[in-house]
Amino acid sequence: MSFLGEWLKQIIIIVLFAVFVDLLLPNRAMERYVRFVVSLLILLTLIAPVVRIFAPEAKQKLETAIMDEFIAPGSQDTGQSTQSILKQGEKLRQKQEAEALQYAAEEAARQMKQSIEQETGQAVRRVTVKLISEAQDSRTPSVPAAQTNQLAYSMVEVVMAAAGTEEAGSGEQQPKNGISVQPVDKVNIDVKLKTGQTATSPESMGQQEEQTQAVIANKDAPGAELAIGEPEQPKQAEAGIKRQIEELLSRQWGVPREAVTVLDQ
Amino acid sequence: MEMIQIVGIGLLATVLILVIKEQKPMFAFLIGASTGIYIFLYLIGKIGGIIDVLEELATSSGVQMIYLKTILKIIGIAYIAEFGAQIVKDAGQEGIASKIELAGKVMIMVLAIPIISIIIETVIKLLPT
Repeated sequence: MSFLGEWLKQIIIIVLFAVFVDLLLPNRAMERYVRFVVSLLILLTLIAPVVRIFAPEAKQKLETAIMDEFIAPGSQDTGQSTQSILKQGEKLRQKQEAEALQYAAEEAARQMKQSIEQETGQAVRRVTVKLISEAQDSRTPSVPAAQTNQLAYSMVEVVMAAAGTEEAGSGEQQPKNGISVQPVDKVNIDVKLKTGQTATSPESMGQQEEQTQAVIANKDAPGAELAIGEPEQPKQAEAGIKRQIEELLSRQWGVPREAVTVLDQ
Repeated sequence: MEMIQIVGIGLLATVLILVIKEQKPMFAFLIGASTGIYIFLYLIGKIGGIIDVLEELATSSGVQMIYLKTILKIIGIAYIAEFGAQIVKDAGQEGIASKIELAGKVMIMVLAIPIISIIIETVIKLLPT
């Protein structure tokens, strides 16, 4: 019985409010709209027991809806700022990735240079490695950040030192044997073996910087003194060294052959 | 006494506006707008008292506060929209005034949406499936 009394009291108060609002309204223009909303409220109060039985969560829903209405502009603002924060995070992640990629490329270049020098006995002026991650390459910025990116060599450029066309096939001649005869004048052999640079697609994002930074100058390498000025068969020798380097790189590092470029300076 | 004050302010402003209108219509408009705002602000305190009483009544009778808030929001939207529309209308911009009124109507209708959704939900649950 007390529940019934409560319900009746609510209805009476709501109707009183409605009349009060009707009186307060400034002009006729708004009247229809206000009446509509107020009559909806009265209806809601009338069916309150039914609502309580059939939709018990309705009250909370109504409260949250109207509270959202109250703080609507603020919430829109935070939404925008969330968007911008997400964008910034994405940018930072890309930058970090690019830096890691650059560092990995430098390290790989250094080690490749060492191993090439050991293997072929030729002085290497510099090795340039360009790495790409597959996710970056496919240009889908919508990939989730947690995805592990596949690294791939897009280009490996080996620049040989000025000398060193002599020991083509054998390649096991240690430079440290010290039988360097005499410092002969430098012989410049301008042979460019620029084959197979097909895989170098134009990458984006600052990987040109890697190229300059991964340069490891090799001025005082011992092989540089082995310059013996008798390049009888320079082409064959070049080809042999090139083949050797390619083999080495593909064996040890998994670089695709067409990505390797051997230049001679 | 307060009513006399308000009417006095209104009359004063009207006379000033009538005097000044021929020379500077711009200033006439400014006087009208500021007088309106002043009366409006003056009334806000009174309205606050009324709202306090209403809230007390609602809490004592067990009406959900959310209903009262909705009703008060409706009144506020109606008054503010009316006020702005009147000022703009005084300045001679009927079009903008009607747009402001339209905005007020839309805002009131937006308030109705959660109520309508709850009623419809209940009705749908009542129906046998």
